[in-house]
Amino acid sequence: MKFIPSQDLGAAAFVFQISKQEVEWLLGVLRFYPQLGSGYHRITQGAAEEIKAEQQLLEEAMAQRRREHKSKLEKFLAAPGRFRLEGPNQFRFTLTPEQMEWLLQVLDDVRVGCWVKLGRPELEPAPPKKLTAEQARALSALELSGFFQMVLLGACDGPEPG
Amino acid sequence: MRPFSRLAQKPGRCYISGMSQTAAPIAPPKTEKTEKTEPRELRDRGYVVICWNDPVNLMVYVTHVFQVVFGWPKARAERHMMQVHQAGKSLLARETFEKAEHYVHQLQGYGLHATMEREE
Repeated sequence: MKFIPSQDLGAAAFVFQISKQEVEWLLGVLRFYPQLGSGYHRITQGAAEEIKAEQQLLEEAMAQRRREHKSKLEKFLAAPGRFRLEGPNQFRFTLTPEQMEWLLQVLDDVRVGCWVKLGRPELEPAPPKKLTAEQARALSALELSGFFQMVLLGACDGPEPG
Repeated sequence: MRPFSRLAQKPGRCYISGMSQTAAPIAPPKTEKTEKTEPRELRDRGYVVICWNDPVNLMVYVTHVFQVVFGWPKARAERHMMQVHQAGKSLLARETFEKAEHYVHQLQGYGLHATMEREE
């Protein structure tokens, strides 16, 4: 998958070329969403009571955000021609800057959620070697979500879209 | 934080050191400076927003999030990201209760380990 700088689009947009295999990986990773539960979030590490009282508000806000992202994701993937065939084994798809931001958050939820599921291991120099089938799937999703995050961020750093 | 994914190191892939220059910062709620609200404003001052290190969020992603949430230029965002990475945490903002809470919600929405604390 790679970013294709485009001068043709009137509206700001990011265009990506992606192989059939990468489409399958991306869809596979996105099926993991959401991974994080509201209990993951902590408003404070301190003892200030007035801050602790806001913990529930944070959890509700994160749950609401996930519902909204899930809805956006379903609409995004259901859009006809989302991945447009460009050539043998090659597709193109487009993201608006707004879609880019929530997709980054969705991918990060999968990445961090899988890391939590794996027991929050140190990932460098190497992740755990003995894995169950479920852990292996989580590790694959963690790595693939990071891969797609890097490609999206590379586009953010590239030429201005539009 | 991880520098980058091993998959992203494959030759021929495209990547990155960078960040969005296009996203507008997410505006925190405004606190009106009227006589009526000033006492609350004064009482609330002294909350800090801290981002803590973790081994899973990519460094380039953390920099991007700081740019988007705070509207910082890339150099400042990278400076705080490196502080998180090397020192284990970085103090990102010193704000009123409401604004600090807003920032924590935004940062946690992006999956970062961020908290607000009362400044001693």
